[in-house]
Amino acid sequence: MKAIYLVIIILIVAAVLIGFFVMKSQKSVPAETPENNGQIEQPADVSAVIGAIDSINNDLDNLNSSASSLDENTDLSKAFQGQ
Amino acid sequence: MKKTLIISTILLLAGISLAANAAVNYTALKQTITVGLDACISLINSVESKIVNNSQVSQETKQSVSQSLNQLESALSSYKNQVQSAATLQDLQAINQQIINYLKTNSSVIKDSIKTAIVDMGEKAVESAEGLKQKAEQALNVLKVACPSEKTTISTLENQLVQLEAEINLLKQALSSKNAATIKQEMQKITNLSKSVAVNLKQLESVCVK
Repeated sequence: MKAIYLVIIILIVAAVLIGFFVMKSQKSVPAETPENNGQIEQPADVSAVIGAIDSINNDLDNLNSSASSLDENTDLSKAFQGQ
Repeated sequence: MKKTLIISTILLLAGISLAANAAVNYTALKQTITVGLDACISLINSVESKIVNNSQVSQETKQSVSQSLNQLESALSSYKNQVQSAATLQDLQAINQQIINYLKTNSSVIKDSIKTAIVDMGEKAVESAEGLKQKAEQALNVLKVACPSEKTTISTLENQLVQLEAEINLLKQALSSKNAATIKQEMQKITNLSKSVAVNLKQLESVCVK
């Protein structure tokens, strides 16, 4: 009878230990994210990336405005003749 | 005797009229040439200022453009001095012809300077757009997992990134052929598209990332 109780106790302890290690191993798995060379691993990083994109957009805007302000057909002969 | 007096008077008046007319032509031509040269110098300075004061243009391009445009300006300033010291109408006409010839011969200097600056800006735009595309793809990969229900926006973003790549390739082609008009056109398209990509990413982020 004692042997039966001992087996039951051992089984319970084993089950608890297995449960503990399974939970621990699940916690160590990273959040579900796609393969991305490790550059963004959490959704929270998206805000930082969008901030960087805004900064690049400002650069593009400035470049575009500067290029648009230049006229590649500028003709000094016409300017001289008052056209 | 009377006839001689009348003829002499007529000739005298004609001479005075011709001299007055020549003086008027001299003053008018001097004014026209000076105004034209000032317009050219002002245009050169305006172009130079736009390029040299632009933080996005490389130092190498700035120096090259500055040197070319300063030579042009220096030559035109020299012509201006010659105009100021010209004594006769014939002198002015000769200088005017020299200026016209000089501007025809050097018409490409200002155009080439502008093209060089536009190509420089286009190359910077390619770098920026490629960086933006890479970051947008990274963000989209995460948001696809975080926002599986936002299929429409995700699909729009995927299409926009494909289109962005196509526009970047077209910009690269325009840069290879140094086609300034197409470079500017593609830069405008890329700028608009990149802004739209940012708007869509922010929309996904606001819905799914807390």
